[in-house]
Amino acid sequence: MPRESRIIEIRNLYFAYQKELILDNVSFSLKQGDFLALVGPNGSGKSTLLKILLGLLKPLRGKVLVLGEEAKRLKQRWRIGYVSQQATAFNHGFPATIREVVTSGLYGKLGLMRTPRACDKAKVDQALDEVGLSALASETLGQVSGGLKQRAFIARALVSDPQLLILDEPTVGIDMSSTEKFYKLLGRLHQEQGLSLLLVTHDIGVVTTLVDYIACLNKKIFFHGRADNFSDLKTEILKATYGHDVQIIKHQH
Amino acid sequence: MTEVLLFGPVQRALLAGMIVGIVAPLLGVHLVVRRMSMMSEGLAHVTLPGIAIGLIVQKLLFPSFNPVYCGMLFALLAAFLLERLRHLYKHYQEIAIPLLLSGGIALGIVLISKVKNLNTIDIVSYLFGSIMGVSRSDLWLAIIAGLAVLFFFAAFYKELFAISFDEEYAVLSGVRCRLINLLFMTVVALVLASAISTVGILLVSALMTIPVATSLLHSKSFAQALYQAVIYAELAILGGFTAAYYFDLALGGTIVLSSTLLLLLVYLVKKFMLSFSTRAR
Repeated sequence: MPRESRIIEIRNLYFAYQKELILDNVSFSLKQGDFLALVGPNGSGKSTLLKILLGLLKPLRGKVLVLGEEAKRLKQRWRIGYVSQQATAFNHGFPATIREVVTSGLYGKLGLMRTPRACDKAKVDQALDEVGLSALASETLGQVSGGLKQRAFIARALVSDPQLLILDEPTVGIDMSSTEKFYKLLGRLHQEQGLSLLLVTHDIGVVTTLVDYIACLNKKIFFHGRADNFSDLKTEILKATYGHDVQIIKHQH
Repeated sequence: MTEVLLFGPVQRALLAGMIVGIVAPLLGVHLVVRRMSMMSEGLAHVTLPGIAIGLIVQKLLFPSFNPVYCGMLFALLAAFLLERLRHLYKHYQEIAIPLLLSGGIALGIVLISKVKNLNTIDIVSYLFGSIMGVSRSDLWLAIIAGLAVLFFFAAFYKELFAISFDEEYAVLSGVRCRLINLLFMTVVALVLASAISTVGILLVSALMTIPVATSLLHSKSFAQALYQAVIYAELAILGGFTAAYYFDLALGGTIVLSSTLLLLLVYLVKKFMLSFSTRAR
């Protein structure tokens, strides 16, 4: 595989908190335009892996390349869009409109002492349109539903034209119908725009139908391959990853 | 600009108050939404030992020395210390406030008690604010602090918004958070020190929080929260100033009381409007 087409490349990664090994010889990659789901039980090291990818933690050993650069040293951080579990953790009393929040996604890219210009405002309009929030742009973010909030956070991540979108359990605390719409939006962004996506989720029912590749993590990688291969072997893989049988809830996509 | 030198103490106090009324709530909105409003309280209290040292310098060495400069220096040092403490106690960031607040007051009291014949009227006016207590250099200080804050806001508005809304995302998207946070705490210290002569150490942080609390009752956007907080602060200063002037009351107290009354009034109007619109439906 040519190196430049790899958006993420993790080789022999080890990470430990004090003496406890959290990531044990983890290796996988994500190509340009791929949609990868990272699944695993609580405490399996998913969040730690994300923090390493985002440059917030330094690996103990191993190589972590994001967009061809070492994750910790990536200069143009805006090239990665990040959506956390913020729909629930967000300060609901914060007086900001959806437009103000989405525009803030551009600030890292613009740099110090530069204000958004007309072309930046057009980008904000485009991002709002992509997630279907144009009509609600002037609404206060804290007063819309969890699903709409999470769409606003996706728009904030998209507005800087990232090459990679990382989503950390983005549907936590969101109702079922909004979750369905949210996954449809991710599928559309992937198919229509060719955006590379890394989705961390517990929602195994979704990963089999929505994504191209799956990685099952529980400190070690138990599976990394195409989603259709996963579907054939999922009972065995999940039992090995989670240590017990896993019940899968199907979604209507 | 030099006409301000000809102003009498009343005009000077009013002008200094009006300037602080613009810049204090601008900073206050960020402090409140980041749940750091008590930080301003901590920094304000640290100015006390600085003022005490300034009064000692004034008494023993230079009679024309303005003690607020020493207060400002202490507030600046405390702002840097605060940033260090916030990183040191990452999971208990609020612990920095009682450390600074109690430490500042303790040092101030010790210094004041050690020097005999210190003018207690001066100390009281720095604690509670006074119409007659605003000197020419205090007014210049307010003008400089006001200009510094306005420049800071114009230059870093977008970074301030990004950090206040979501500091983790701001870091991840490449916003230089540590630099902006340091500059932010510096201008907070500058404004707190420049407002001490008008409002007083004990009440200065109220100007950063109460008008903001009022604007948060009904603002729908961040920009709205900012300009409404400034309007409420200016109204409170004008009201408080008028009451202090005509009824010979402590200026800091009347300003903060006006601000609180305004908060109550806006809350009642909002409640009335809500019940009216519910009934109309």
